Amino acid sequence: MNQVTPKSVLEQISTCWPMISNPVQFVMRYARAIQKYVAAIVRDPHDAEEVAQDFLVRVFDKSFCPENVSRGRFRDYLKSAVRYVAISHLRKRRAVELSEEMLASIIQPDSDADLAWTHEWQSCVLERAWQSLELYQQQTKDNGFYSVLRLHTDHPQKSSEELATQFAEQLGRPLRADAFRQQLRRARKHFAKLIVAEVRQTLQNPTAQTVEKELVDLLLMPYVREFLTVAD
Amino acid sequence: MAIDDDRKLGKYLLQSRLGQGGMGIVYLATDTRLRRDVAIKVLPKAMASNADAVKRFFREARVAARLNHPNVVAVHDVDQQRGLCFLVMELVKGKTAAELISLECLPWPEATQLIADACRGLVAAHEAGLVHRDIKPSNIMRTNDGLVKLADFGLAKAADDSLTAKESVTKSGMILGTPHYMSPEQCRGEPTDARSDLYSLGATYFTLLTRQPPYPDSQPMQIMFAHCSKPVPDPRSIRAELPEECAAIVAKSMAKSRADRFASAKEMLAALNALLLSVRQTNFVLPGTSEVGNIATGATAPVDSLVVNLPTTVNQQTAGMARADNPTATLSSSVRWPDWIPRTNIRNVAIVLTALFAIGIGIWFWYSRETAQLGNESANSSNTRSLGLSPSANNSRLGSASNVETLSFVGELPGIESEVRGVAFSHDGKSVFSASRDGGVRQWNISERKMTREFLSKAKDVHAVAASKRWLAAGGEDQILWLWEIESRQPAIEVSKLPSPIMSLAISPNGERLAVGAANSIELYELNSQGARRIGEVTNSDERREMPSYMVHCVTFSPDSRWLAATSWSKTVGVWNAENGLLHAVRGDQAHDLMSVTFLPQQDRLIFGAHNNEGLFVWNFSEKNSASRPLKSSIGRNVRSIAVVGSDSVIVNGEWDGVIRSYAIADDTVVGRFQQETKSGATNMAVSPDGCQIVTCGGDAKYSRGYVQIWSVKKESKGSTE
Repeated sequence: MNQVTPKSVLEQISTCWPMISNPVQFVMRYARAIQKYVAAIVRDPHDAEEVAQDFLVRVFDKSFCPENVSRGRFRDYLKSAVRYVAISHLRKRRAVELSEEMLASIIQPDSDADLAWTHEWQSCVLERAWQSLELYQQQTKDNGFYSVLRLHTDHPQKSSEELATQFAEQLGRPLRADAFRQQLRRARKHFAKLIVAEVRQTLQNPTAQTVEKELVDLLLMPYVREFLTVAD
Repeated sequence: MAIDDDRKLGKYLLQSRLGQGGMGIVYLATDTRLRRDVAIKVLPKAMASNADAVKRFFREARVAARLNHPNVVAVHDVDQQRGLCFLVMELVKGKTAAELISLECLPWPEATQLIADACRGLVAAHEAGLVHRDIKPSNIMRTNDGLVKLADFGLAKAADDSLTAKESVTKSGMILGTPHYMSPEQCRGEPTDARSDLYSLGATYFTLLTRQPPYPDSQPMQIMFAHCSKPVPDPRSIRAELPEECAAIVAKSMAKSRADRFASAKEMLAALNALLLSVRQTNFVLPGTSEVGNIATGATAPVDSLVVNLPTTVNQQTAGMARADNPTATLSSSVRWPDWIPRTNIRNVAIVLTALFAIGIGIWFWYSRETAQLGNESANSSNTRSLGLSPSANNSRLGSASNVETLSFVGELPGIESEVRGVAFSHDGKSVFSASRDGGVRQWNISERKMTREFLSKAKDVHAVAASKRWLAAGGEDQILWLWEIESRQPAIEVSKLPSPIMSLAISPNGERLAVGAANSIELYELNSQGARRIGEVTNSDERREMPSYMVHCVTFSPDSRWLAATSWSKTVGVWNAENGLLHAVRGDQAHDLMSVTFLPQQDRLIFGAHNNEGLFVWNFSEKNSASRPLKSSIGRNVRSIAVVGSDSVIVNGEWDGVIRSYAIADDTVVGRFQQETKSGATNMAVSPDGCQIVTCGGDAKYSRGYVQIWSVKKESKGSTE
């Protein structure tokens, strides 16, 4: 097994990821995924709490700024960092008790933990896209993308007529059903762009291929497939 | 230059240091031009040296200065002198919410009220486009008068701008103060909006309920991580006795995703108000938060007349409680009878003798007063108590104030054959609505003095009517609250059936609230585009009929729509928060039954009138435990209705003598008396929106007589009236 220390892994995470200007804030953005992952690989809640704290202290101190690292997906590095902080923590606390089996379960976590990680990461990307879409609506005059898409997502069974009426009630401006459908298509397109933009931030050299792979891995393709050529 | 070297900062003279926080040092200072004490917050130099941050600070402070709301600390001025940026604010004497919980746990109704009041300030701020961004217990103050105020508007954003993106997060624990109340989006360095304030307010609510922050870690980074990732804690895990609704409000306001939170401060306020109202419906929360706190925590509290006259208890769920369930029992137990006297007999004899003695004294007292009053009025008037004369001849004015309001009789509405119990002006003052014993609710054109519309309903004996721009409400003996949309001509809406006949109605000046005074309750409704939605009963009644909701002859709203006042036949006058129906203050020590009340132009003062010749009383309801002041010049009068017509004058309609009098409150004098022959006594009165007209109404049910009289109000200087 390749012996990698927690410190070395943390030091591999760099601000050189293209758009991550503040790694701490970025960690906060994906905090839910980290929390879930820690809980999945370290079953004991008390230990999980301490691992998360250790991880944050190291992020706070090191701030992901080392050199000479191989880069790829930010989330992979974050995941590795969490894993190795967990190993380090458990080794310290339970030098006697820590079995090879337990250690292996952390180094090579089961599929449930990976699934939790991917699922939460995807959820964080989507939440970020929703927030950006809402901000876009607030900052763009006469824009209703967020409201239109939110209405459609929350009430998939309702007709365009009904949703257009609801939109008019919410925003205080009339919208015909055909205009609603048109706005919806534009909103989806914009939403797809925001998802891709968020994913691109977490890749070192975002190309069409790597972005697409990440979208596939995160099960985000259904949201962007229709607009991929435009978004890319 | 250090401030200590020179205590002057522009026109402000720094007096002493009040405190220091992450946002700067706060000084007590004196505005040397206006000669008033103010609080000055001098911002950190790091911020003052950042041009962008200063620019933003000035911009936000200007917006904050436009906020004029009782639940927001007023910003008087903002300036930059000698390289120091400072904010001049209203000096608030009181305690922060952080200080309030530092010693003891607040009872949850008190914590909820505090947060609701702060939320009310947020509603105003958000409507003005201002986001606070740093809501926390130390930024919520409760004044010594019990008023809750939000402080430090606009500072957080400016301070945040003075830092780099990295600093704003990594050093937040040091620079911006605690991250205990930061929203997840703030932790992530994302743009904030009004819902970010709601998160912080929810976190503050959690702290007030439990005396600990939602995520009580010590490291800022961990706290922020928790805000972003951990489930919202349930306050009941710390205080199991808290109601589920408290936890639900915390959970919704602190939802990780903004879309899952309350959509607005208004929505959150509605949830808090609903919780408070549910408390009110099952328990009586005493007015004035300190009473609630002291009594509910079992600490010694002054038991004054206010407590004695409220025979229900403070929420016993949290109380644990040293207070008697029936304070009146405590009172009677203080009268000790010798054991050898048969109690029932001696009590009955004593009561009868006391009553006879009191009646005798009362007759003598009334006679003396009446004589003195007439003599006094005669001495000041050239034409007193003239009956049935022409309008110009029968009005007299007694001018002791520099300006007096005088009434001129304009005319009477024709064809009224039934006692008129209620009158109300339309919003434009062009017409008046009347409610009659015959069940008629009618609209009259004032200038033409003719009926323009009859609102048909199944009602009988309509006692009260109230109108807003959109809605007309009426109710009476059949206990049904009726509502019409004035312009639409749609059939009447039967809003609800009350448990007892409706006695009085009022619609708030902003048109958002409808109060219903009934024979056994006072109810509050929200008026919206759909009609009326019941908020709830603002008072409870019990079988002993000792609550202030027995025979509520008058309900009224303050000119700013903040307060609702009502008088009852149970010798009580109460003031409620018109938004949520929570009791604010009550006087229950009046000697006689009360029939009328209205707010005076001066803040927090109202005047109410009594039956049985007790006249008028002025009461400052914002001062805790303050007694009402009788208007001596009004003693000897039954006051059926009151109308404010000037800055210091009221017009009063007596119940039986048919004379309308005006009083100067400050001078405590009768300044005018007016009379036009009526077929019977007066029941009610209304003032037009511009204050230039009043209508009075009355009649006699037995002889099917009724009237509505129109009077014009004119202001004249003292010289011209005498």
